[in-house]
Amino acid sequence: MASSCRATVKTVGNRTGTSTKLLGLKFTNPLFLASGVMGTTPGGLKSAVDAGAGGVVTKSLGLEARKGHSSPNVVGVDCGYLNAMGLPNPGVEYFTEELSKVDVGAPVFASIFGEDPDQFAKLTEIASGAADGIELNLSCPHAEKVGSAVGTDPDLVERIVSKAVDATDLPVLAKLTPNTDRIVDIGRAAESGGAAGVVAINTVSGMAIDVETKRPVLGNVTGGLSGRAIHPVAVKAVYDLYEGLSVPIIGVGGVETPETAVELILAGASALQIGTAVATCELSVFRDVDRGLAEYLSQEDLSLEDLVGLAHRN
Amino acid sequence: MGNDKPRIREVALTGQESPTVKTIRLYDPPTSDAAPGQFAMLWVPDSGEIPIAISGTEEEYSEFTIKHRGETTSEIHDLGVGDKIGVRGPYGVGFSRPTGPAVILGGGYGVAPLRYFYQSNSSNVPLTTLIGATSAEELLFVDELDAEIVSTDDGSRGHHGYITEVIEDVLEGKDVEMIYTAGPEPMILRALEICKSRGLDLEASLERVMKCGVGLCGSCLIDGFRVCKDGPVVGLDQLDEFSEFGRWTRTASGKKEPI
Repeated sequence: MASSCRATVKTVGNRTGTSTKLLGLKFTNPLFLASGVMGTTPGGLKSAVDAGAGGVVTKSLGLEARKGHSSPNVVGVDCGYLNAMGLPNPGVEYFTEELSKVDVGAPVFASIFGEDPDQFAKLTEIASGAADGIELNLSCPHAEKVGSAVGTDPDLVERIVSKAVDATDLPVLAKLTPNTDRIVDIGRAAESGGAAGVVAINTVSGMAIDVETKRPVLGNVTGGLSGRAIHPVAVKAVYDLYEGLSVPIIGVGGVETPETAVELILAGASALQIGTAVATCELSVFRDVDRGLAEYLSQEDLSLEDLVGLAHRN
Repeated sequence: MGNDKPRIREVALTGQESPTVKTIRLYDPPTSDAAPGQFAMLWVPDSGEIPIAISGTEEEYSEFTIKHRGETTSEIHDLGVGDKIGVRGPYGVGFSRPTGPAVILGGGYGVAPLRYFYQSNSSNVPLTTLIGATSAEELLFVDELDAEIVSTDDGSRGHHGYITEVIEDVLEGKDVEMIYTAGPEPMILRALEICKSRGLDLEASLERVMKCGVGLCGSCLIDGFRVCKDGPVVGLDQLDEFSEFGRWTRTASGKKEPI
């Protein structure tokens, strides 16, 4: 897979034309580590920042420790991975305590998952003790009662976001699921609830069956598809959300190269998250994409802000 | 992602190495081509998937030596010739090729990846093997690796105590440059101290809870280091930098647990 990670846009030295201010926070670049990837420990978050991430999102945190689904948890498919981790996490209090002792080196968003608005409020309050922002997981496709189970009803989404916003002074992001025909309605509901921005997309619901044993491969049977395979789905979701919302959109889905990053920004993303590419490429993917992005901006004589949503006709 | 989907293989051969450790052999070209120290994810449908080091290869066959520890390892122990198992990988970074005389230091089932290391390198450089276990019957591959010294915790064979207690005697008068090791973390930490004090180099194969095997999920992190993708074999400097190694491991939820 290494070849697909290489920049097709030529890169230059160490330009840093990509620093950005967003959500009241300063980022050295708009490429953040996506939730669920290496974010189980503060050390993992710091590794991503050391490798060039401009911000990081934790593994989703719940009220109680949880060990996740039975294995296999991950299976490779063409152009991506299917995963069903099952939201393993040490619990929001435990993680927040650990995070408070570590200087990660860039803004940290605490991703949280709950079953109802009150749980989200409680999680937000606790996680705010050490994070710089909150990302509401309204979109994990393979866990009961949480994730996309509470993320496809606009009324419920508005109530969850509103409760979370009331529980903190930090910016609150809503991470949306693509497994719906109402992503813009849900995005608008999050905006009405007071979200400072939305994150799109989480994984696409999927499944793999082994044809020799005739058994589903994932321990949880179904899972979520990530990686290059879902990039066009993310581009469309971000494009649609940009038309319907006024808050910033953080794009995520299949970003591996400067080209894939630029495409999502043109669709309307103000910042991006990278997840699967830390496995299919090296951790240096953050620096590589950032350099290519800076070079693209320089060639086109555009600022990052100029580029956001440029694919939309006026 | 070409090797990330399980390949279904038939068990070609099995061997009981000790009361709790069994070896299975599979026709699997991708792992038979791996470096010693690399591992694969073995999948038993309807049970689970676990990371297992490659313990040897022959032509396009690979061997995996598995300690009986839980549900999935128990299912693997029950497999016979002709039964099916899934394999994905190989994964991670393996041992370097030794360029001079070296010591192999294995504890418990940590000897498994070192067996493959011995197979690959014993005809090129002089290797001195030290193996420790809880008891005589749990000592693995003693003859195959031509072990110079063995130890057992209960004194049932060889040195009565830990294998680390005899390393320095073995090193005296030997022109060794490097120790290759795998096994319990206190053993590896002691080997690290010895290497630092004597100016030797070291590589160690590490073990952590691994779920994805490809560097995504973070289950296997030591500090911020991904054992599955950037390890499992680490060099002396990396090992020396860790704050958690030898003291803490992480459970499946990510909580720290003392070792």
